[in-house]
Amino acid sequence: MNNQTSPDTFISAEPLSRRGLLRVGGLTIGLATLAAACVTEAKENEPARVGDVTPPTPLPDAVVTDGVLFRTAASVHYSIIDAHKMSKELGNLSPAQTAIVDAYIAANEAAIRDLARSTTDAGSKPWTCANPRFDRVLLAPIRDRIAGRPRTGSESADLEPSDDPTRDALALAHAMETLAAEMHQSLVPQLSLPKYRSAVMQQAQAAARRAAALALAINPANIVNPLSLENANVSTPTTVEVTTTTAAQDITQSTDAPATTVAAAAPFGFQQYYALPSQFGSLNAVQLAVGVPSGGAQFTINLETPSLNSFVYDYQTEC
Amino acid sequence: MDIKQAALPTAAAHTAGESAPMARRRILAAGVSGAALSMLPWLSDRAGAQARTAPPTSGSETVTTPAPTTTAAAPKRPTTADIELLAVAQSIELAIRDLYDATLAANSFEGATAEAITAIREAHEAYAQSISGLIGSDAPGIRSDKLYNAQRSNFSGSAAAVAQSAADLENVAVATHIDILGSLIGVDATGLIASILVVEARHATVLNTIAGASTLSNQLASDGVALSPADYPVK
Repeated sequence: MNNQTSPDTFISAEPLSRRGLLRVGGLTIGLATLAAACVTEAKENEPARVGDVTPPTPLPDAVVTDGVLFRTAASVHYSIIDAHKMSKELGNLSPAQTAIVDAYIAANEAAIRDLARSTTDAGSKPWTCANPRFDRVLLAPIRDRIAGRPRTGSESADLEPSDDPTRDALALAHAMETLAAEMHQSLVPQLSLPKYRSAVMQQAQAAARRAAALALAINPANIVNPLSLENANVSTPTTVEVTTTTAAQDITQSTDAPATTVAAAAPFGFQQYYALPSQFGSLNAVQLAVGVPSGGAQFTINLETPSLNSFVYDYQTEC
Repeated sequence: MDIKQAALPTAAAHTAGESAPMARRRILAAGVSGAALSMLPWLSDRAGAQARTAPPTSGSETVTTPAPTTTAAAPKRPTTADIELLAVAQSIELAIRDLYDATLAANSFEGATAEAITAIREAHEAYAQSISGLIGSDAPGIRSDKLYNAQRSNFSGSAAAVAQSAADLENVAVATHIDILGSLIGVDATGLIASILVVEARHATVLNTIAGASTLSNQLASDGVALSPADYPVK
């Protein structure tokens, strides 16, 4: 057997000493450290991804312009018209009440025409249908509470139809006109040109008048909100009906009274609407209570003025 | 076992002709290669990370942080021209308040109607005060005598007649504020005037109703003509 070592296995003419190996190793580590230090550190904000995937489609630019605000306002007026039609459909309204709602529908149609002109003037395309988010999130549950519907999903019981559809239908119409006034008022500081602010406030004051007239039609005694009177240091009006309280217990009553004389339950305090709800125009959410009272309360929904998630942006082209 | 060591001398003979620097160069080359190889996994990881940290698209950037409207350039505080307009608005509000004071003193209204008129009177005073809060010492704090004197006779007589005059004056106030709103620059002032005029429109509807409006269109009547600030200068 020949154990002769091949000469090609040597990498140097002399056998590597321990010191030489240390030098080579140190040099390797030093160069690697130098190279790592010279590379720019990039921060990784996204999780690692395995494999190739189609890059996500970039969303279109959603810029809030004057035109977008006008388009949004028009869309809400379309939704208000839908709500008024719902009031007529479900409310069993009298001819006089129907005439009021019809007049309000016509007024909202006129508002839409004005807003379409302003939209074009602001460089956008007029919007010609209801606000999809408004209809889905607000009008659908309101309809359910007035008309009733079978239970769905995890609900434990069917939704009962309203005990007084007329009351709820008029409340809905009043809430819609109040919302229209608030919406236009809320647009004032967002619009860029003074002439546009005047334009929206023309719509706001008209809607506010409609809300006030409807409040008086619902209850002629409800002129001024008692809270507003208190704030103004005016005595509480004598003819305004005070909302009922739930205090039915009289602690001074003799306990010897016969068991059959149970105090009658106080009637439910339904929401009141006032022609003059406050001294200044409010931008709070409009509260609308509809449906059968249950557990001492009615189904109440907050109607907010449009914001970023309900604006009708310029890239939205289909109704 | 015969283990020859002849190869070593052969190899030595073979490399004897090579210089020492050449050997050192080989060692260096081996070291550099080692360094490069040791960095390979790290460099490939860097390459993968580049793909994952691609900058977000412009579209998604815009959605998460919507571009501000052009109103961002508008000042919050009233400008000098705004202050002049707001001063006129305040003098009008104080004139209306004083007209209501006159009719309440004459007991033209009773009961709940009188309370409603009082509430409306209080609202106009609150409007004047809020304008003072906005423009401070520039607020005139005095009524427009011209408007007051022109309307004074309309605020006496029967409740229905006074209510109708008051409704008409509220409509004038609404139209004037809308007119002023078309000139105001400061955002704070526009918000205040908007919150005033929207309630004055409600005042008009209530007063039309008190005056005996028999139809919806009469209740909603809004035919007021705006007062020109030039015609009602603040002294």
